[in-house]
Formats: sequence, structure tokens, C-alpha cells
Amino acid sequence: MTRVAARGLGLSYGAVTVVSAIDVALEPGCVTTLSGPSGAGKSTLLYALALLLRPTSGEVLWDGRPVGRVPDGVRSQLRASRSGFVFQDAMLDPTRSVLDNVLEPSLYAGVPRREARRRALDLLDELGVAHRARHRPGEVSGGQAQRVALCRSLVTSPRVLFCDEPTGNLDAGATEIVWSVLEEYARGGSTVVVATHDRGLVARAGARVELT
Amino acid sequence: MNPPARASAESGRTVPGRPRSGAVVGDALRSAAAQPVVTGTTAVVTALVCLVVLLTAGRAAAAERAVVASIDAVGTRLITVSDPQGQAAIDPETVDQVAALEGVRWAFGLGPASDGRSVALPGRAGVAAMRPVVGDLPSEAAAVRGRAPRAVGEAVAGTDAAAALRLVDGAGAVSDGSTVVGVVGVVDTGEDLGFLDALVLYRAASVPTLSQVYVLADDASTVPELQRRIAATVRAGEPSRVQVEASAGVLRLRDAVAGALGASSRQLMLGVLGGGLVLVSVTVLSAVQGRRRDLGRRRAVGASRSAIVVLVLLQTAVAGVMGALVGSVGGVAAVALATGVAPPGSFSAGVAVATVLIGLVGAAPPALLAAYRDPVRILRVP
Repeated sequence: MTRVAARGLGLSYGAVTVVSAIDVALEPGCVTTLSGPSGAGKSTLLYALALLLRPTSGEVLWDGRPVGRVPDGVRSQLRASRSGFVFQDAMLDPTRSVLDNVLEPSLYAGVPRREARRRALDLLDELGVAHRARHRPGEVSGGQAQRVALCRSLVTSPRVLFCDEPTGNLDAGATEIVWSVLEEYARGGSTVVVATHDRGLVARAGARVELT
Repeated sequence: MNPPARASAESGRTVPGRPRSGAVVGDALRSAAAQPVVTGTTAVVTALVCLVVLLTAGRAAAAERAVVASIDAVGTRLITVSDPQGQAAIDPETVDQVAALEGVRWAFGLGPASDGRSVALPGRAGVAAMRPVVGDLPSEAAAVRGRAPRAVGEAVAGTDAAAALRLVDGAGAVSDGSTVVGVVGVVDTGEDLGFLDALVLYRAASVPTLSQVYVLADDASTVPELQRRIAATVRAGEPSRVQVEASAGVLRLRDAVAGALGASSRQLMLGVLGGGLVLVSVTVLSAVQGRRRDLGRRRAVGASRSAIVVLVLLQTAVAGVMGALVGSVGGVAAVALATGVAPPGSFSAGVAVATVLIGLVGAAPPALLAAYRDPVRILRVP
């Protein structure tokens, strides 16, 4: 189980301070939402916790170890092997098949392709998009694409899952499917962090971080 | 629905680690195949660079090869051992000893000349010089009629000698008053051994001394060294009177021509490759600009900077190899059709390899640019 935390975290884009001196601790076992009004820094905080942004001040800790300022190669390896990321739009590669898209993170995590392929097909089956495995992303609906993206984020069995507005572009039915997958994954002992402005989802989350 | 990853997450079935090199190469190949426009454009640019290099520098290299080959035909490689005053007494065994030296294509010796006349038409035909020959006549003196002399008393006549002696069908008896030989063939020696055309060359039972020994080197560049070794090998009664000569002026001309053409080829090739480097760089740069979201996503899901660089370079290499193959085959064919002479194989292969390497060098800056881009800035732009 990986605990993710921030201590006195500050993030700026140039002269613009987006997040200032934040302390958070995200526990495994439940979905934690990051919410707040537009511009509050939800996505920026999420990117920093996911080691995609280097903190301007303070520190990001994974399992108590400071990892926010480690070299880029180490952060890439941590992202590949221990975390998954779901983007607001599915961000699938339109030139590759759905299955190849799902397999992408396993390449960087060093997972043998045969094992990753078996896991990818299982995930696609469990999320109801196995019949689209050989299709291109342009041939699937928005809801299906986001489920494919979810499969991609889970293919390496990450201990931490970061989601940036994962249901922002989905209808109610698709939102429900995605949310239930995230809850089940968290119950398996993983840390799941969701940046969202959806008050309904915030209300259902096991833990909440409200940014102002 | 079953929890999609609970079991795996708990058991830690996947092994954290670095990308496997085989998997990275496989992914680059799949990316190259999945992006035919980018791959095709890079391949076409590489093929064009290869083609232009071969059509310019390759054509010059082919011309250089043809000019040098023409100079090298025999003239620059021929070494003559002679006895100008007739006092050196060159031993006929010299021929076998010189022929055995490394780097010698062939050697033969000629004895003193005497006036030969046709036995069948005494007084009505002209005169030709008769000379005993020691060693095998070279392939450049192949018989155009009849055959080469094999036994003692058999002879061949050069084309001019056969005409002067009015030998019917290139055969007949020739005598110098003391020796009678049977001409069994006519030889036409061409330009470099043209002095043989005026002679009747015969096999003698014994040849006391030789007047000249002619030696052909395998390679023009070895002539000066071979000249020294031959001088040390020649057996003669008066070795100080023996002269060993080669066409020094032609050798210098050959080196000058080869050097000038080679330098011209190199300058031309460097210029075209330099232009190719810029073209490939611009092509790959536009490709990575168009793939910003693709590469940003890869960074977000765990690709390191080096993985991005390797991906871009491998894709360029795949396209480059395809382009270089097409370009070099097309270039060699075009030069061969245009000039009748193909560029040397080593040159064409070198151009293909250089073009691929130039492509990789040109792709390196865009690859680094792509790798060092902030993925968050890319991902946050819709």
C-alpha cells in the first residue's frame, strides 16, 4: 500500500502561485477527491502528487519518502511502476488499436508483453469493452474511450491511481461505471485520488480534500 | 463486475523495472508502422539525400574509378628490366624468380633480336624482328589467329610482323639465317604492349641472355616498392648495367587524378549530406511537433526522457534504413544508366550508412526537444 502525502507544498507557474503551503495525506482503501472551484489548483496539485510537476516549495512523499525532487529518471520509473493516471479526455493514441493503447504503460514498467496482454484483455473484458480491443479509438464512443483509458491506467496494477476529472466528459451512465471501478479498485487496497468538480462524486468519496 | 486489478494489486504480480530493450524496439516499429505519413516522409527525405549523393558524388566516384582504371590498365603497372648497352647479361632464370614475387601479375623476357624473313617468299616479303621469348606470354598478348607457341621452334607473330612477312592465315616458316621457326599464330597486343606487334616471338631451346624482362604489377600503388624488389632479384653478369624502370610520370599523373577527383567527390558528398541533415532535422521536428500530445501522454504514463529520445531515434532509424535502401539502389541504377559505370560498391554502401547516421544526428535535437518538454503543459492544452 502506498500512502501519498504533501507537506507544505507550493506550486507556481512562473510568477503565478497556484498552490501554497498545502498539507495533505491520502490514505489507501478509499477514493479521495480533490475538489474546489475552477483555478483552485486541483489539477496542479494532482500533477504534483503524481510526480509530473516538481514542487516550487515543500515536498511530496510516497510511503513517507520525499520523491518530489528526485531526478526525472527516478520519477518516471516511479510513475511507470507504481502509479496510473486517468486524464479528463481519454488521451488515447488514435493511430494504435485499443489493446495497444491499454498496453502502453506496461512497456515503461518493464512488464513482459505476454503478461501485460493477458492482463489488458482481462481488464477490457471486465470493463465491457473487450469487443473493441482491435478497434481504433476513433471507432469507440466517449464512454468506451474513457473505460479504455481506465484499463490503461490499471494495466500495471498500480498502487496509486491519479484521475484528473475522469468523468468530466461522460454522461451519467458512463460516470457511474467509471466511479464504481474506481471505488472497487480503492477497496482492493490502493490509493485512488480523483480531481473533480462534480459535487455528487465528492459526496460519495471516502475522503475529501477541499481547495479554496 | 469483478474488481479489475485487486488481486494483482495485492499480489504485486507485475514487476517494477525499466523498459525491456526488445519491447522498446518493438514499440518503435509499431509506432513507425502506425504513423505511415511521418515514417514515409522521413524515408522519402532519406532516400532523396541518398539518391542525390549518389547522382553527384557517386557519379564523380564512378568517373574517378573509370579514369583510374583506364590509367591503371597496364601502362602504370608495367615495369621493364632492360640491358640498354647489351653488356649486363641478364640471366633467363630472372623471369621465373621475378614472376614468383608477391604482387606480380606476370613476367616474361625477350632475348636479342635478329632479322627474320619468310622462308616461303624469300626476297618478296619484308623483314620482321625475331626474338626468343622466356616465360608465358601475358593474356594481353592472346592469339587472334592460330594459337600460342608451346614447343621449341614454334612462334607467334605480331599483327604488323605477320603483315610484313606476308604470312598467309598467320602461319608459315620464318628464318633469320641460323634459326628457322614455325609461326603458329598471330597476336594483337593492344596499346600498352604494342611494341610486340612488330615482333616474331619464338620458343628457343636455350636463351643465353635476355635483353628485356617485362613485369606487370597487380596494383599501381605497389609499383615503386616492387621496382626495388625486382632490382634486388635480377640475376645478371653485370648487375650494375641493368635498368629497372616504370612509368613514373604516369604514376604521378594517376595519383594526382585520383586525389583531385576524390577530393571533389568528398566535398560534394559532405555538402549534400549537410543539406540532408538539415532536411531530416526539419522533418523530424515537424513530426514531433505534431505528436506533442502523444509524447506528453507517454511521459505521463511513465516514459523517461531517454525513452522518448530512443523512440524518436528508432522511428527515424527505421524510416532511414528503408529510405537508404531505396535511395542507394535507385542511385546506383541511375548512375549506371547515365554513365555506364556504377559507383564502387563500398562507396554506395558507405553513402547508405552515412545517410542513416546523418538522419539520426539530424533527429537528435528534435528528439531531445520532445523529451525535455513539460508534459503537464502539453496535457493541459485541449
